[in-house]
Amino acid sequence: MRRLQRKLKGWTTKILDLPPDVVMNLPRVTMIGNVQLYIESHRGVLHFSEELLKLDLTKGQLEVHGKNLAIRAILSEEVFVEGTIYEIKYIP
Amino acid sequence: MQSFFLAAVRGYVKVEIRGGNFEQLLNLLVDRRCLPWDIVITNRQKAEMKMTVRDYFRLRPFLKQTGCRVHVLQRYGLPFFLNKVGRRKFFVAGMACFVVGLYLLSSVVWNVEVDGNEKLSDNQILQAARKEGIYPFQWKFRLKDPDALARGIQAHLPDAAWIGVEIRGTHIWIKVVESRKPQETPLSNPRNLVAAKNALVTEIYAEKGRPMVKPNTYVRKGDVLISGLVGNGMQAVVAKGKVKGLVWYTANIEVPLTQTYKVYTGENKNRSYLVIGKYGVQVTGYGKLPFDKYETVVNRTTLQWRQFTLPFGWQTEKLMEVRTDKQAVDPAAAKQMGLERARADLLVGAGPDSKITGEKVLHERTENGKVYMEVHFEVEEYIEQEQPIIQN
Repeated sequence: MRRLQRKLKGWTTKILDLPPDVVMNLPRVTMIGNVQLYIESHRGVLHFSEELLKLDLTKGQLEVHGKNLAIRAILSEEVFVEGTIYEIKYIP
Repeated sequence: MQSFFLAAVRGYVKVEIRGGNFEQLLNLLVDRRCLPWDIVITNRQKAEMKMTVRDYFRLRPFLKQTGCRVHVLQRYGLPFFLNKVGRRKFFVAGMACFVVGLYLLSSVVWNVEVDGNEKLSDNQILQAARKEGIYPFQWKFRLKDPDALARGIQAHLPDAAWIGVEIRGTHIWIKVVESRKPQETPLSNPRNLVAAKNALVTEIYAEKGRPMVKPNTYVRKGDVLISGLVGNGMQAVVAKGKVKGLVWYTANIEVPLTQTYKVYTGENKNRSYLVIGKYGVQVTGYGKLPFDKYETVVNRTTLQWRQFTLPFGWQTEKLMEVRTDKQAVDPAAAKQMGLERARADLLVGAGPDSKITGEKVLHERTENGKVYMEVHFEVEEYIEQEQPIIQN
């Protein structure tokens, strides 16, 4: 059932040209150079240090490795990270 | 991040969090909508972040939950500034007084100026304005509308045709346009109107005084036409009126039978001069004139600078050759010309509103290349003349 629902969702998104991150509740990650990172739709901060930021997502986790990381702003569903970013890893 | 300005006005603090579970604290805060910003973690489990003052006071239960300790590093925002200012009350009071003083001083009239008056004196106008409430050191808000003020001043000054009142900042300008009075007739002494020449009276119109003659009477030079003595000769007034009469003239005309007149041949020469002071220095057009009789048309331009005429300028002369031609005129045409010239002379001599009512050629002869005529003209003109009454 879940599978079918998901498949249907994917199909409607494609046909109707809707943004997939809204329909399927996926996070949107906007990266500007390696300086700024904007993550929308997360579920919480798991770990935060100068070199590692671990975020919890609806499905899985997101890891950001870097240097001098700072959270410029945090909202309930969005995070704005600044610093020197080396890696972004998606852990399902 | 969104409303940085609002945060600055409400006040925000930079805090340092030590120990405990920072991530959990962050998640709790975000869930409760206390959103900090500019979060940095230093390596020894210390985090710095900025949050609004309101949020700061809601931190406490979360700190207990996560076991973190908080310490305020810096305070930003209006409330803290006001606290600082509160310790320097007099400075603030001085600033406020300055602003209030400036406002008060600018709502007072400092200067009243009058413009456009020639016959009326400044003082008169200022006095009238004073009655309307316009004077230096008057509060501006106590003045009426400029239109009402202008009307009021006009009521006090009947000589002015129009008054404009303009309030510019702390100046009041009063513009005056004076009324032009009709020319007053000059006073004159009592007088009679007498005849200036021998004439036959055709019309008599007495505006003031007693008419002494009737139309179709022949008067001599000096006869009283309108008398200034009225009543029983007791009262003397200034006689005024108009008397028209026919005057006879005999004119002797001579017209030469050959006319000479000047004609431009078309040859011309241009000369330009540079004028300095009174001296003209000829610049172009040198050379002797090829013709001996000429007329010059002079065109002179002096340089000017604002109101000053500079003493040097430019002058151009155009010299045009003239030839005198002789032309024979036939006697009839010559006679006509002579008569016309005589008529014109007479009309000029007789004054305005005169016309020739009759002409008669008495003699006419041609000899020595000229036409001689003796013509008798009858002209209707105004013949009155003033004569003061000398009373003893």
